[in-house]
Amino acid sequence: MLTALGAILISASMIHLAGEFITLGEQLLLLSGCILLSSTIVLIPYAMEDPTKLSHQLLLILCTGICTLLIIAWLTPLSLLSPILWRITVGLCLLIVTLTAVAGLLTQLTDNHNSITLWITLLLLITAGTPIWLGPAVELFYLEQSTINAIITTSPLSYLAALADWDYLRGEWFYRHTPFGGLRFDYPSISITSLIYLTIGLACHYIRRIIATEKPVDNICIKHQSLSILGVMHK
Amino acid sequence: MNFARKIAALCFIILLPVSAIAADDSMDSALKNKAKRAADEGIHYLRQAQAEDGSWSKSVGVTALALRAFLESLRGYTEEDGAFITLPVSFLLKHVNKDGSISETNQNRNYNTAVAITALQATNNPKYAEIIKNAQSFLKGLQLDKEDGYEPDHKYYGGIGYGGDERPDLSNIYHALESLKATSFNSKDPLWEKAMTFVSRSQNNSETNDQGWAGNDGGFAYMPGYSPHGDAVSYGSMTHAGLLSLLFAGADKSDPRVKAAYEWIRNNYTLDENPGAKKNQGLFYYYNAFAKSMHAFGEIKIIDSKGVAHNWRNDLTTKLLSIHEKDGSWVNHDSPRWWEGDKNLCTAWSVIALNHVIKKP
Repeated sequence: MLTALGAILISASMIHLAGEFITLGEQLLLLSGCILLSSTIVLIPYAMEDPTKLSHQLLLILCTGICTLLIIAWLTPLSLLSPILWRITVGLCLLIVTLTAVAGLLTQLTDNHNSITLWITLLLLITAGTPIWLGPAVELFYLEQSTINAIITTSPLSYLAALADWDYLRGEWFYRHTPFGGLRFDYPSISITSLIYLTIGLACHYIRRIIATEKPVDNICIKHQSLSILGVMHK
Repeated sequence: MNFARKIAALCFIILLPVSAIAADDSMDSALKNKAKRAADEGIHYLRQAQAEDGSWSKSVGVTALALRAFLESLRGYTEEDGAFITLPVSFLLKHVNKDGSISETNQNRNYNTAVAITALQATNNPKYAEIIKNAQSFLKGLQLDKEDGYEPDHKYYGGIGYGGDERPDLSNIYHALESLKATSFNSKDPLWEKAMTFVSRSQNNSETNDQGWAGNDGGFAYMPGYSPHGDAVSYGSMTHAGLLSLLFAGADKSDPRVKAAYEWIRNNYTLDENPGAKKNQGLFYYYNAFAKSMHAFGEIKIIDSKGVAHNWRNDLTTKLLSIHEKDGSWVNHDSPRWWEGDKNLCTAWSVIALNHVIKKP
């Protein structure tokens, strides 16, 4: 746990150094993105040691929430009472719940448990980067606004940016590297996107439970293999 | 008969200088009539494209630009002309927010508010004075300065962005300055000087730009050190926007920044494309800014770097006529960037450009 916290704090500090040159919106997106990635890499394997244990999941959410509150309040001008800070915290926890549920389902479905964290991290990076790698296609094929909106909604960054109340696709970096800033689009509604993530999370959770009752999982085996992924951190 | 000839000759001699004085040599008269007709057709297109609530493209920005096209046209439309003017005004008023902005969305609040108050001002209706005043305060509040943590040496200082925390750019500040000028915002407010700092830092003119990246062609990039068309390359739409911004902020023709910008325009004179831009991106934005800046600059002819004189009014009219759609609209077939796939927007911009062409110098 200390390793996890350390990893988050170090990456957040690095972002803070870069943050001297960037706007509050960019800081919030970078910090929340960093916390999300750190939680995925470091904390989800811990929760996956025993996907049936609710206490592991709750600890994961609690840890993400506390880290988010402390890091953002420490590194940005936002106070602990800021509604934006609390929105981001709740949103990040929801994202972690969803990712944990997806990871739990994958753990149940696949025999190769070692790679679950890798797949979840890849899934996160690919969806987060949708505006970057799909950007050229958007312009090349003159896509409709509804399709553009769907692409933007796919990225968890859009959700985090909406929570931070920041038009990130018109921020300097994304404006330079994607065509979205010059196109017409709407960001996803926070409530609808939250509902989508919650639905995905619940669906994965219940599917995993259904499968688990049909084919009990060797939790000890999963625990052993998860620990082998995180060997360095658990030393 | 002889007497009649003498009278005719006398009339000719008397009327010749009078007609010479009255003649408007700023534009070919046949082209001027065509420009008026094209503007009318554009307005006709906009009328049939108007939604039931009076808006265009469900957007405050596009609605405000289309409304401005009507109000500034030679027809001189006013709110008394009917619902096609009063409904879009109501649409704008419906989107007035508590913070003074006028926008249907949290994005583009600067653009939307700026073009909305320019249109409201063009109604000449004193009822909107309070709304305009609040919107002016909103726009002023968007300007990045020391209060926002930007010292005068920061490249963002004095700039205005899309309407929140985002980075500023020349296009946004140009629209803000245009609206503030149109609505007679206090000319002594520090906003103008700060804006001038940001605008100057967007120009490729090392003599007046303290940023290390600045080149020396006199044109403008999108923002200090960046252009969407590569590096910090100067391009047409931003150079006209930059020139207008300088003029709005109080610079005159003798200002070295204005001279440098005009020099770039001379060296890159064309209406076949948005010079310096990729794939004709922002073409109609360019035509619109071109017409407004050339009208404000006040020269009838532009002599390019090869010594060829161009009557910009004739040239712009000829170009806009050549790409006029059969239904009366204009649209950018080469690139949908900057919303130019939207016929309502391109038509509004073209009609506003033609209104400036037709206007007396």
